[in-house]
Amino acid sequence: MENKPYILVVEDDKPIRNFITAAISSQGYRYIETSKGNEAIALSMSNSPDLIILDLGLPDIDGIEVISRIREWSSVPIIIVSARENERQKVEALDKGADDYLTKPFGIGELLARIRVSLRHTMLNKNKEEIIDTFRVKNLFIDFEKRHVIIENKEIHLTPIEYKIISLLCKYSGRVLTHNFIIHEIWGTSLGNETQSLRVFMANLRRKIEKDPAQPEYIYTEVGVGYRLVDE
Amino acid sequence: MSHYERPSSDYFLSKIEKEEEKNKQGKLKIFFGYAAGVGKTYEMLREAQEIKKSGEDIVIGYIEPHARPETMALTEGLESIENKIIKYKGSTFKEFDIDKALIRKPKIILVDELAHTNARGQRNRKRWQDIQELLAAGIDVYTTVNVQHIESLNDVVENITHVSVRETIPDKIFDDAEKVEIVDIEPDELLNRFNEGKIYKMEQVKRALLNFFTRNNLYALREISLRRIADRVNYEVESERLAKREITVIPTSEQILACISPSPSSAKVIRTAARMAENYHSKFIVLYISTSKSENLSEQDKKRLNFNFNLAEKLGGEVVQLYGDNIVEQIIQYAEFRNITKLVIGKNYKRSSKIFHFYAKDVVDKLMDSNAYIDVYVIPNSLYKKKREKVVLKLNEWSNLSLREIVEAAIIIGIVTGIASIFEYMGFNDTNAIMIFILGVIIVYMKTTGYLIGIISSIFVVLMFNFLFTDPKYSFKLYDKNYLTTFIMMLTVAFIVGSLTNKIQKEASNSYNREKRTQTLYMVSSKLLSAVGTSEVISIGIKYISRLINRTIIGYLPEGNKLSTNFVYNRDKDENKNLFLNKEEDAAAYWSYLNGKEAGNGTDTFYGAKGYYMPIKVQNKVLGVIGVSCLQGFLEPEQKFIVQTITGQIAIAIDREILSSQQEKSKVQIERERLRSNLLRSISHDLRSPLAGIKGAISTILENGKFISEKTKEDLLNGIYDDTEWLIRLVENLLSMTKFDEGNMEIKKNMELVEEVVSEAVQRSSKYFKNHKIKVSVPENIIMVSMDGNLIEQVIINLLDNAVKFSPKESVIEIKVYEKDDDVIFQVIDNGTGIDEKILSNIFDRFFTNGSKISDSRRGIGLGLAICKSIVEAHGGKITAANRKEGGAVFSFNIPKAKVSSNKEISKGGDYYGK
Repeated sequence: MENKPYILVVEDDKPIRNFITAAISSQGYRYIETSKGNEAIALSMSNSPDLIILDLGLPDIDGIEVISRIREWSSVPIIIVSARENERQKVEALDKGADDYLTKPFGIGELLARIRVSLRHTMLNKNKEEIIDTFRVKNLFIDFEKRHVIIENKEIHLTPIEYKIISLLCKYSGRVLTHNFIIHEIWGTSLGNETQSLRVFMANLRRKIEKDPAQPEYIYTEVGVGYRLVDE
Repeated sequence: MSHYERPSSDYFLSKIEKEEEKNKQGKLKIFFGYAAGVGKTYEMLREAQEIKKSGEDIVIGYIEPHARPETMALTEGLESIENKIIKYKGSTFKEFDIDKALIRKPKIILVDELAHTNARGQRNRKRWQDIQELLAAGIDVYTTVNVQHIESLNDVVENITHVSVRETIPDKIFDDAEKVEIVDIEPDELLNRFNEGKIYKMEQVKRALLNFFTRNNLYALREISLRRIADRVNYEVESERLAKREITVIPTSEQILACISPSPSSAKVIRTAARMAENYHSKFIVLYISTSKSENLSEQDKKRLNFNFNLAEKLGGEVVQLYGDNIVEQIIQYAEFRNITKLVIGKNYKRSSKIFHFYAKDVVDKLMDSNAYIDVYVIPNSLYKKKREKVVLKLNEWSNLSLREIVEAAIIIGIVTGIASIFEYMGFNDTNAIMIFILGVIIVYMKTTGYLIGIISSIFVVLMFNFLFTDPKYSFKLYDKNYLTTFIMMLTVAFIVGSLTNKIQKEASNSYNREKRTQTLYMVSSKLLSAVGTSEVISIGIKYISRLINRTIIGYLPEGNKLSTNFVYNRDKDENKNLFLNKEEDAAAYWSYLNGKEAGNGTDTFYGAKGYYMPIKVQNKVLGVIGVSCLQGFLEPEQKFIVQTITGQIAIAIDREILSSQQEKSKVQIERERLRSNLLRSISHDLRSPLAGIKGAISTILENGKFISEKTKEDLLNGIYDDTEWLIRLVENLLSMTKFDEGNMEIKKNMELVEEVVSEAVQRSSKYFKNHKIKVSVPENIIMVSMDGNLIEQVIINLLDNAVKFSPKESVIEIKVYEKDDDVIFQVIDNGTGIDEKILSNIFDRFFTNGSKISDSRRGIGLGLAICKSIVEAHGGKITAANRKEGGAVFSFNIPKAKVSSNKEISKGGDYYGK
């Protein structure tokens, strides 16, 4: 890429911010940093970053609020950083428009992986003319045109719903999708109770795709949040 | 020179308490005068206006409409609380509205006429009670009162003026007032005012008033009031000086005993005793001897007796009730028992025409004989005669006839007559007949209550004797005059023996009753000792009160701000339970609870209520209220005494319960604190090692980076990484623990897929299981269970961590999940060293560590397993550990399944495995 991606880092804890910016620059990305939410909103407007890493526990303004404001005019990918226990906060942020999340404490590997995934999808979205008709990760291969799903060179038969789910996951490979999002995309409604049905579908899907459903290689569960398809 | 009684330490203690209480209480200022018209209200209003100018929040509560326009003019500009309009029997009354005053809560309030009696419809009978409520609420009160309204001076004033004053205030109110300002005026000038119509409108002046407003009266009244004020000042000065040791004291202790009866003159006796007690700075005791005849007192007498008891208590005396028929003996015995030094007794102590009576003279004589230490004061009746009721004893007798007794008597007399006839027929001497007749009469006396039937039987028997035995036989005529004496003797003997027997019987039955009562009281106290919980205490208490006094009892316990009524003990099963559950009764009970004073029927507050309410008090805390049904009449003193006694015991028992539950809570608190400090200690201790490791490694790299090899550097860095992982897990465990310590576990249960929870747990902890193989076994079918996913993950991670600690490298650790009946079973199985049998039962305790060295020196605070236990138990499951035959250990826990089967809900498309 000629244009190095430009990342906005919003984090009030200095050591963590340092770590993030160090990791980013190690990949050659450009960055700009701030410790305040209001500043972040202003900067995202003036500087048009390609990605925003946003800590939810900011001193001046609620992180969720920042997401809402930014989403009013921009679809820039946002990765949120939050503490371990707050599932609800993560889900809320994701539903409000964040694209992925990181849980403190995290390592550089996770951080860079998330960044890579988000940037890739942005690229893909930008090149909308390119229609993706296949997808491959590890031993999983999907042919969207022919509606074939192949694991380790064997085709497997999926029900229509299962196919929709796996396609969706592939479309957003590497990114976490909340239960609500998946339900919304597949079934069009977001009734709370339906998450149970979703689980069951996912469980069945896993049994078909994974060697060991209890130790999945492809479809990772983020308990309390949603699901994520591995991307490399 | 009067003797000073040295105040005891109790006195000073109570003074200190009173001082402290005074700070919360409002202050009372009384404008005191010797007659109406001296200008008390005027003075009060004048001062009020001045205070208002200085900015204080002073408000008019109630001012009596005055004839003097100057007085009424002074009310201008002062905020006034709206009067309450009460309509009663066709008339309209404007009364002081206490509730509005309590809501308004000014700093100072003016309430005229301290001694006023409230109209029906106000909850308190007297205005001084309203003022007490205001003071208790912290409001200062200004009020006015005349000398004749003071209770202890009431009869003195009456003697002088021949005007009976019914509205009185207890001396305590007067003496406890913060300030008393006397409003004085020359009697001649007052007379002028009166004659000019400036005090009362001419039309209002009645004859009584004309008698009142005479020169002599006014002078006398003035003197009394000045002296009363002087007494007040004197006492205060005295105690100040005593406190400062300016005067020394000679210890004496007078004890005053007043003997009373239901007669109205007892009131005078009580007041005299009270005044004496005041003068000698001693207490006084009021004694009432209840005889076997007291059961038959008329309603009037009972009421008056009650009034006398209340009066005694109001004036600060101790009321004692004894039983016995020999009144004189009782008095003397009690006087000796209590070390009485002065005895006060009414002149016509017992007015009656019967033989078994005595007069005051007897008491005095007897006392002179027995000991010389007791002074006796005999109080004559006041010159002003009140209307008395006729002797009603006999009337009572008439009303106690019962048909059954008449029939019984008739049968007995019939039998006796029959036997006598047989004697006659067999030619026995007529003395036998006489004896038989007398025997018959005695039996009739024994079997009946009251004298009436006995007397009639005696007369009848005599007539029978005359008819059957005396010549001429079968006629009522008499030949032999000797028989006349015989008749009279028969009557007398029959009467004496009969009434004696009667009396003995009554006494015996009284004794029996009293014995039963004492036994019951004893049983109540021992039952209350063993009762557990305030509900049980109250239930037992009211049951026994009800049994003892034969009335329905209701018990109230506080719930938050209100009273809850769950405890009612009915006298009869079908008595109206809803008697107590209406607003007015509730109001009376609640008032009693708030103010810690008795209320309801027979008292001066809420006197129209159907029940009598006594607060359950311990020291000054009110713990509840006991209500007694008064449907069958007001509560008699003896019954009230029983209620008081048992209520006292209930109070102690409830207090004890409250204290013990507080103690429990304290224990729990202490335990919690102990655990917390243990935790903190452990954490601080255990944090040091990893932190030391991290610091050491980092400083090495920073300072000696150039000198160490890459491999060493990598090792150091890996070490740091591992240490941080350890710290992270520790923090997570601690966070989970804080959820427990608050008391309420915050588990958010959702339907989760078991396999997802397990897989995420494995995923998250894969980093530190690099050296081991993890195997996961879940069944083919889908298991969903309601649980807090994060917490169960925590459990699995902790168990894995534990397994890793005790298993050799490269060994397999298995996680197994399966369903069994209504549970989902999770197992973590390792092939390690197993668990030492000795510690097997303790491993789930907090802060329990093995102590011994573990394979690669992984430390532990001992929280991990304890947290597992807490989490599992919060889900309603159990966790266990055991050793396997094959070697190694297995940890199992179960999560009960939710009742709703989740799999049934799925209907939309797709095939699935499952139940």
